[in-house]
Amino acid sequence: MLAIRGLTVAFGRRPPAVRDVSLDLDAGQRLGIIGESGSGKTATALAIMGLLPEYARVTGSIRLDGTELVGLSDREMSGLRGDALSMVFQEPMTALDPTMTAGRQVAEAFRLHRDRDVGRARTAVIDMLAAVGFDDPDRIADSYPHQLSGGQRQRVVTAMALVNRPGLVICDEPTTALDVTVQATVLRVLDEVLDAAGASCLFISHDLAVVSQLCSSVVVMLDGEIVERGTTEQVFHRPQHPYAAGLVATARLDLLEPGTRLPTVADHLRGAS
Amino acid sequence: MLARLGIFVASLLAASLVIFVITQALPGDVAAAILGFGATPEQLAAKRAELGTDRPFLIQYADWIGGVLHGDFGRSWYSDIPVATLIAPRLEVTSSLVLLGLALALVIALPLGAVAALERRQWQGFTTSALAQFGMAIPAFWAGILLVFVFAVTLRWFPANGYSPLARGLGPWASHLVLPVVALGAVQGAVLIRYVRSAFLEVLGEDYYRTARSIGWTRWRALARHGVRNAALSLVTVLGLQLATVIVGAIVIERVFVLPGLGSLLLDMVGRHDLIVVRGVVLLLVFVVLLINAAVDISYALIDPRLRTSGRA
Amino acid sequence: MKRAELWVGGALVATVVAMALLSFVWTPFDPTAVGSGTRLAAPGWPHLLGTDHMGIDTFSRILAGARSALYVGIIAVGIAALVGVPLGLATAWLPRWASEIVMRGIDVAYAFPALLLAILLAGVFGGSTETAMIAIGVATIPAFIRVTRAGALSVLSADYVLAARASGTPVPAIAARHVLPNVAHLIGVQASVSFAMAILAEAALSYLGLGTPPTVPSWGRMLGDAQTYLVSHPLQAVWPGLAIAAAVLGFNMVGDGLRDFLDPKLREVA
Repeated sequence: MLAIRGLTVAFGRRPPAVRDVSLDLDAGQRLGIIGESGSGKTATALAIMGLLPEYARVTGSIRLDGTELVGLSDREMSGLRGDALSMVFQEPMTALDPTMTAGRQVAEAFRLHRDRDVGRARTAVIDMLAAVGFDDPDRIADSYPHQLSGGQRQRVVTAMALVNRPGLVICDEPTTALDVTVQATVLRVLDEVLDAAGASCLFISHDLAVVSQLCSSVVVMLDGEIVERGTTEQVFHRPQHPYAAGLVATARLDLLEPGTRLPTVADHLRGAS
Repeated sequence: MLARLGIFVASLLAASLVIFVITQALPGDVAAAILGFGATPEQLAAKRAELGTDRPFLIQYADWIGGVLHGDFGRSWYSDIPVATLIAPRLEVTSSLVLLGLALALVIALPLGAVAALERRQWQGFTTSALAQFGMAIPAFWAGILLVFVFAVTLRWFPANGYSPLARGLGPWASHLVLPVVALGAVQGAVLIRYVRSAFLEVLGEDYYRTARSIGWTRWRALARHGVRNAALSLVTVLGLQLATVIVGAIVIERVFVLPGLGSLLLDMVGRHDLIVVRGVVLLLVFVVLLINAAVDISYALIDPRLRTSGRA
Repeated sequence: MKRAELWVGGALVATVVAMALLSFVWTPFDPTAVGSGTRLAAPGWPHLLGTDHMGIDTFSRILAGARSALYVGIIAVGIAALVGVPLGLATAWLPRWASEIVMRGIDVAYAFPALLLAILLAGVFGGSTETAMIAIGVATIPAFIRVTRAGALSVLSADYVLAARASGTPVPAIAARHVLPNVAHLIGVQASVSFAMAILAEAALSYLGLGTPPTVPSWGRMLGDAQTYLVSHPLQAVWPGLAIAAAVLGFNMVGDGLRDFLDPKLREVA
């Protein structure tokens, strides 16, 4: 359903942040994109959403259900955003408008694409908030962001992204800013609602362990390029690229013999060169 | 809230003291100024007693403030008419001019500030910013003079000067105010554009703006929907601070268009050194500015729900 | 582009300064002599911009008017900076409650813009260049206090200043050695912008007849005179306005250009 060919993103005169990236995603499939900050994973996500700053130059092709997204006007792209594809951002503390109740913000997404009627939007919002695991969706809907915890906000953001049951959901480090215990809840909720919506998912993270919980396949990005791709299983157990091997080693500290030094990604990269 | 009220009262007292010191202590002997050189010592003493200027300074101040609190601003030294009576009929003129001027400034600055922020890398944004820069450099009274020449003298669309009270009909009132309001509001609008631009630029960098975009708002509608509310906090502050400038601008504009407002009264009485009237008018203007700024502080809580629940205001 | 702003602004300011300097040694006609030419002559030769209602050459008067504008600007900004900068530095060191009082005082001062203060003073002492300069200067002090204080506070929390304070360097030495050089550019920007505002205020006061006296050429008063003859001689109301706008534009552009040029933090975020 999503086919990316030769995607390159460049800002100003600097070297491209994303270089010749190609990806395929089937309906309902979940693909993890792993890489450290600056590896181009977020730029890739924003390119698909059409949310890069205007001065970014995007070349290549991004097709969603056969529609070419590269070169669409902001108006055309806005018709798709939040409807055919949506995004869950990584900053739960700041991703919501502080001056509006959570419910109203979720309702905006619904009313923009589905039904202008306020009453029916409210019903959809309450259902969606219940689906992301809130026991008291009415109270959450009438709360302002500052009255909610980080985990609660992240679930509200998830509800905004999924209220229209988009075909593609891009998650950009949705749990990075959260406590480990809260992370688990949010990941479980995400897993459930993605399943319920039958949505495909691009899951961006620097954390291999988190990706492995949700995704069937993985690509690894380094300096704007894809250096490794395969099923989660393959990448996890038989990484080919030294950088990927390094990521696996740092993720699988449980395999480490007590008393040995902690591995770093650099150990593996240096060994390769 | 209570603390803000206290600050307001303290500010007002401080401001009134400043006005009083300047108009009462600095000029020297007011009685001599009124009676002129030919006055005998007896006449002077009688006049001082009449004006109360022979008493201790703080008593005079307390007297004045006490009167003001009851709506008694004293009597004009020049015409012996109560100051409040002089002020009352002029309130409509000045408040019409200031309110409409501010409204026009906002109507100009909000959309143009949005263009300047959203299209800052395009020619539209550049042009708007340049326009603002030029607008800021134009004295409002010069704009007024040029407007009179074009629209009153040459085209004869609007009267060149004078005022028609609202009570005598909306049409004449409006047509007398068009040129003064444009002169005052357009220049003020140019000043506001930069504030609106930077407030909007801040919003454009916020995560919630990106979230709004991600659910399908276009750039403009995301800004209208989420930008204005969030920028309102800083814009309301700026508007409060600009109010003093607008009021002062209105004083000059009243002179350009011969509008019988507070500004004209003030300038006439300055010319006659009728300090009791000057003092009353200035106190009234300063009172309005301080009051609006206190209201601005309190209005934060209405705009920002975070301040509402934490009880800070 | 920001550099261009600085250049254009600088050129405008230089022009105004050159006009003022030139008028001391040479003007086409005497800018004060009544009846030196035909009354209300049209622009042409020898009166490039025409003459006013008293027969004074407008071009000469515009040149000499630059003096009044700059004179008031320099004195007013000088007063504001000389009082405001030390006060701003001092409040950066004051205990919280004391600086709170100063800041509240500044809030009150904002209710007295330059023009209102000048009108008040004119009511007491009569309008003159001096009352105008003092009023504009005093009304501008708060802006300098704010800017200096904000800059000083951010410098004071920097590590190298903390180190200097910890090692017992006396306060005035820290202020002179570390703080002042680091806030100098902020003060420069403020001075430039305040200069523009001072020129506008002086023009308005002279227009109202409360500033520069009638005998001394000033752009604001020229506009006031021209308004009387607006119907027949509208061009006389154009020249002084253009001069004011050019001077104000110049100082504002220099201020903006300096700000963007010197402070990379304020450059636009991507």
